[in-house]
Amino acid sequence: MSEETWDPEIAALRERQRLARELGGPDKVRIQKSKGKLTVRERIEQLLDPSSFRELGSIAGAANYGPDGELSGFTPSNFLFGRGRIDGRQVTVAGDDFTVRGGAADATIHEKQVQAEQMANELRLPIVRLLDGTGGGGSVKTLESSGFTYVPACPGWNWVVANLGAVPVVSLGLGPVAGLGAARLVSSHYAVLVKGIGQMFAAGPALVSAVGREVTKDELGGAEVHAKSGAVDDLAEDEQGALALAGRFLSYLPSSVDSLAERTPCSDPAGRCERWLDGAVPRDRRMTYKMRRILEGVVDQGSLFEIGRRWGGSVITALARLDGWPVAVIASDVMVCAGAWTAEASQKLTRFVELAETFHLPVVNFVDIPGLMIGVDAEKAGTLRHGGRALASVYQATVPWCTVIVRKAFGVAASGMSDHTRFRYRYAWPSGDWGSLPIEGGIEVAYKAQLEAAEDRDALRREITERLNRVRSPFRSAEKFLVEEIIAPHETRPLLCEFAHLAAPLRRTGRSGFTFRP
Amino acid sequence: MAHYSLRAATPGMLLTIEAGPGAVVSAGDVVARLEIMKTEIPVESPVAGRVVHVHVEVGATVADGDLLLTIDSR
Repeated sequence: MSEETWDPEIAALRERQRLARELGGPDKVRIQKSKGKLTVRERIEQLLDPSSFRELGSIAGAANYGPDGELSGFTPSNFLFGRGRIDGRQVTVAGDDFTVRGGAADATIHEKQVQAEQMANELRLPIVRLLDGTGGGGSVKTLESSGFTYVPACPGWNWVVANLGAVPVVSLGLGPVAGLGAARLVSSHYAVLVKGIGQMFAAGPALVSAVGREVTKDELGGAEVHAKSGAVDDLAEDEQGALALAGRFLSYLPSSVDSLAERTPCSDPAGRCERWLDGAVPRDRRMTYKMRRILEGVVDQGSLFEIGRRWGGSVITALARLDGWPVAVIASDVMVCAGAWTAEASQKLTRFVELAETFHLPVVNFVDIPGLMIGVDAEKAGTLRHGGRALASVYQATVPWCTVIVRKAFGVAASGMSDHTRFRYRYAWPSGDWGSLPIEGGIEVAYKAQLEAAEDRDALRREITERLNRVRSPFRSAEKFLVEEIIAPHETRPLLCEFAHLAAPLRRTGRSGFTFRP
Repeated sequence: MAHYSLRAATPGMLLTIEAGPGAVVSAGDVVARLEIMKTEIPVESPVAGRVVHVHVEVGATVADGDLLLTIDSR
């Protein structure tokens, strides 16, 4: 063995890695901390299991050399990536460093972003993006240094798009993101903005103010704005909260479309029957109830993980577990638009069905739908187009699907509770109330002439209502086998746990016939 | 003393005001009712306090996010 070693180079490597860990330097790091933000390396450390980060491109950056050819200065790339573990599972993690040029893309080394996305895809690992950068173009000042312009293209976008059909993608908005950063945030299965520090916009306040409207970053694209617009799924109170949401979201999904979500140990008995469910739905059909309480009573205790609570409110979408098996839960929230499908709710439903189909999650659907949203505003919002799209996603889905009709099921929207041409794995509660039109609204139209001719219009209306109500019993539908099985609400959990067990071996790995789009 | 703006979480028609100006409410109390798609939707106050202003008249239509009541929360 030679006496000579590569120790000097190893020492130089360590020195360069040490310099890279200083990020944009102590002053810039201080500014970052003064805004209440963690540094990118602190974020990665908090996201991952201890000491599990394996960085790639750790000494990529802009180096300066003296006349002697020795390194005289070094600024690391403001995009870090590597692999690590969350709850023991390998993931790809990629983070922007705002302390170097405000995270601007001209200091990034684009190929790192491309390789991060490609690694996630080819190694079949979920990817978590920690976004804290301004955009793709940097500043128009760079025109002077580069001396040319370019036709825009988003680096690695083929992989970003391919990943939506291949591996779970989570993005956290942990600073102001515009342009390319914003596109990376929304191009995810699960996107979160942190209140106060995370904002997203096509262009920031300076540009917007220049065309006439003074706005702050938060007014323009803060967490509250976009959790409500649906441009991101949820908001978090702080960075720790956002990092925890990322881990929780991933816990329900497989590492890629080539594997299946695993069952976790469950201490909640599958046979648990909640008697209070039998009184959860009011007998008066005009009255509401809290669907989330019902869901929490049915799924494994503590397993309900709602996505997109602040937008498209009449449809609740959530991941949950049934006897340990991860499932996708859809439900109507009758406290918003009485559970009607609005344009927004339809879009939310479509995306969620795409998520379930992409990652082979069985769907459980709790239905209380009075129809598509009606009215001038609803028509202007294009509700029918979006509702039609939601219906198409339901009919294209191939994952195991179980429906529970909790109360109302009217019209086209309710017909989207499931693909009726598949085996109808469906239960109805005794509160079930269905048809092509609800009686309350339909009488005025159907009996218009008689009502107009009547001496006592209200009395006739009551008489007709009573007559129609007599044939409204769900038992009459069940006699004709138009609804497959009516159950006592307290039986719902055992029956759905049974569904989850039957569904588990039916799940098929691989790329789905249709996959997720932002 | 802080002013809390209670906004509609659903579009609808204002059916009733259950807690008018001066009324003292606890968190979770129903302060108004909206009607939409033949369904009555209770509006709960998430905060305790005193109602100082009602911004909408009974019978008026409200949009999602419209200001309904101002409550002095203590």
